[in-house]
Amino acid sequence: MAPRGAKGKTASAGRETRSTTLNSKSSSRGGISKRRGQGRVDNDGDLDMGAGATRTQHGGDGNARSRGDGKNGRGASKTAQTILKHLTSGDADRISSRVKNPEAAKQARSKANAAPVVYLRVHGLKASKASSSKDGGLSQLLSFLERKSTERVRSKSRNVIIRKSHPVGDYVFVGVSKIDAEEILKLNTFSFAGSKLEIVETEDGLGHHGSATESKETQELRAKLQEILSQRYTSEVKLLKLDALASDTSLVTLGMFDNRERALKTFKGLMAICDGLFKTAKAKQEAIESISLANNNIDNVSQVESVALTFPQLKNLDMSGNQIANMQAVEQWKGKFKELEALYMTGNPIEANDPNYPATLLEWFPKLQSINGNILRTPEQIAAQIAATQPRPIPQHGPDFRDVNGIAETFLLEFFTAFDTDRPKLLQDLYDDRSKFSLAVDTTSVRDPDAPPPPRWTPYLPDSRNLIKISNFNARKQRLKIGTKSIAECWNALPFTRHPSIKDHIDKYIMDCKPIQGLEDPSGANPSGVDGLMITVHGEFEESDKKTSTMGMRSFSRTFILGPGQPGQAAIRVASDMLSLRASSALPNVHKAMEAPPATAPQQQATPVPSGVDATQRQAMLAELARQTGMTAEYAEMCLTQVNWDFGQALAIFNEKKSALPPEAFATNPQ
Amino acid sequence: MAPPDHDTQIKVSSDAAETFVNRYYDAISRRAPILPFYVNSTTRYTKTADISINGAVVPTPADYFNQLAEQSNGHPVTYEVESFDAHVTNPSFTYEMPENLPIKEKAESKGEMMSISVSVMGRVQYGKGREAPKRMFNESFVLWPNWEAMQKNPPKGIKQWLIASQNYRSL
Repeated sequence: MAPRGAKGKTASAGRETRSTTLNSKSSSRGGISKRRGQGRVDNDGDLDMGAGATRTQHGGDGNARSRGDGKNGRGASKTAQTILKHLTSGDADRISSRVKNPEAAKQARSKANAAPVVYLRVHGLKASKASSSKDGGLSQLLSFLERKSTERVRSKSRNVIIRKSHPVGDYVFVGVSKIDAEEILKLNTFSFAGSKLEIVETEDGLGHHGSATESKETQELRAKLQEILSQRYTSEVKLLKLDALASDTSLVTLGMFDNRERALKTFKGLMAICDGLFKTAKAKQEAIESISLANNNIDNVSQVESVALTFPQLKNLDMSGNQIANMQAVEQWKGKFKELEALYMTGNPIEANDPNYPATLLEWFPKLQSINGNILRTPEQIAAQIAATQPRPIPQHGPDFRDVNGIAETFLLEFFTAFDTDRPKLLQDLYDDRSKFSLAVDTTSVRDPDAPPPPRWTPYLPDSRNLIKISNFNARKQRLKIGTKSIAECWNALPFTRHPSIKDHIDKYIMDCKPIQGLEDPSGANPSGVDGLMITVHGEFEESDKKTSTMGMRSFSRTFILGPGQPGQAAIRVASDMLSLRASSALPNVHKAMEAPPATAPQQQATPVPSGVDATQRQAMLAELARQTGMTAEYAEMCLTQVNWDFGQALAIFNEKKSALPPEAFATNPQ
Repeated sequence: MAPPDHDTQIKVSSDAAETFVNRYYDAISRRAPILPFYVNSTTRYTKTADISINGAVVPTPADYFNQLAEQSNGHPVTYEVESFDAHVTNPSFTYEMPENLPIKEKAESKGEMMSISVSVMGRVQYGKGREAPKRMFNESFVLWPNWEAMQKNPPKGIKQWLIASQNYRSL
């Protein structure tokens, strides 16, 4: 940023915002703060965003928390919040005063975990006379600490040894054993070379990370910036006004805009503080939807690039009144702000230099709808544009139910009720000594993140024949159940189930059915095999674990192969029954998408006809389509069924697919 | 000629299913040609594959291939199998077995002349990256033996099992 003085108008506007937020503070609305309800209001009435589990309940004076406390839980953002808290309660001195309190140190120590090396943070070296020596007085300080604390070990049976040390800023971090730490902590408030030492336990290790290593000056500055930010935030409209920063008297007084470099740093600092205020990206996104960077003399967005990094989900951005001259000056933001909906660029030289800049902006920001208040595209248009650049899943159609003589329908209506209520009878009626059954468990299926976890898999696992997992031949053999006896044993061990009624809840099922050829003829009369049906059913059932009696939902897919029965037995047999199980997840409702009867299933006439098209109309459409296309009635019906009896669409589909249709589709050759 | 014994049936059917499932989903994920997987690729069957995708009958493998291309829209669409199972539906399959083709000796007892049904559960991911939408799918196949692969010295790389029937659903 290149601040070049105030722009009077916006500055006063900024001040207005400020006073509003200040006033609102007493009603505990104010400041940059996390959304209400997620934080905890402490006894000062301040919103304490960092109220983590590790925090100790402090007394009336609030002094008893150690500095180390701030590093529990969330690290820097909590520290930032702690600073904000102290600043807003008008007692910044507590930060330093409380660590002088031995009680505080003790409490901090008692909370330390039992790590072999304990870290202490020592303050006071810089102000001591020793600091003028070659190594800044470090060795003197360390030997002072070792000597003094060893002297204080009552028995004098051991020496206190500092194992590690590392100076950071105003502090020296030392690592010692736990019992030595106790001794060194007793030296807190001792005088060292004319300076009073502050020694506290810390969880920062050797202070390589974390804001605890900041000098006190930095911490104070941070607090002041935080206050400025809080004054520039309007929670009602989720707006952070960072406009005309160079004319902000508080910032100017702080010297934050003394030169270009300083100004850039300040801005980065402001963003870092913003970031620290929120526990999650979602909380940040919800608290701040709009940012104004107006009138900041920005001539390249690289000066404020951190806005894009800190607020990637930002919806509205005001860049008006800056010095952006061309799109190159915006390039740093390309591919960022993926959720940006509105952008203001008025009052920038780019308006005159590059009249086509809005088009480029629309290209760069995928969700951008309006520029300078002019709506350039609707969310629907954006959705269409995005859809055009994404995979388009193959659409769902209604059941492909090519039944023969209603066999599949009758079978399915009986099957699931019988499976729920009387498995032995079901086996006796429809399975024989050559029927095959196996189940396969998919424990890693995609599921609704909000759905409860599936019931335990244990009852199914001993028989699961998921061939991805079961690679051993004997296991593959043993888990394939052949014949009623073997299947009965398996079914007997499975949980009780309750499938939804097909008649009442067809929407809870997807069922496809088609003829297949070349099945084994159980009578042996047809060497080239017999015809049968393959039925695939997808759905869900409620299950009750036999051991634990817990209830739960499970999704399944089940493939049946039906064939003619053995001589002297039922007419239909289940040749193969493969059950796949996965966690419960709702099926797409293919019936809604297409409530049309199966194409070649006369017995299915009872199924509801699509809304708005009655049987007479359907007959008329059939005849007309057959006439126009030359297709047989059967194929015309298939075609119309696919498009839910939309005549126009049926014609379109025909024209698209006619070259691929087999000759038998046509009653006469089409013209 | 004798039908394959029980162990052979299990071994051949599960191996066939495994090979098929690995190659087929790899092919449709890469949008590689899929015709060689279908009975349509051999003249030895007069019947063409019965392909049903999300409830719609798809006339030919080429049409399904086009649908997959259209679905992808230039982006990766990846099918990942999480579970599969296989049953022998006919251990001595002779449907449309060509009389003039010299079938290898013992092909039947070695389990090469079977029809196999395969049931697959998996996930399909539309697009790249962790955020891309994912759905479950379930698919059932009936595989038939490829008569041409059963001759002496069959063409190199020929598939031993071919899709005769296919039923796919996104769930």
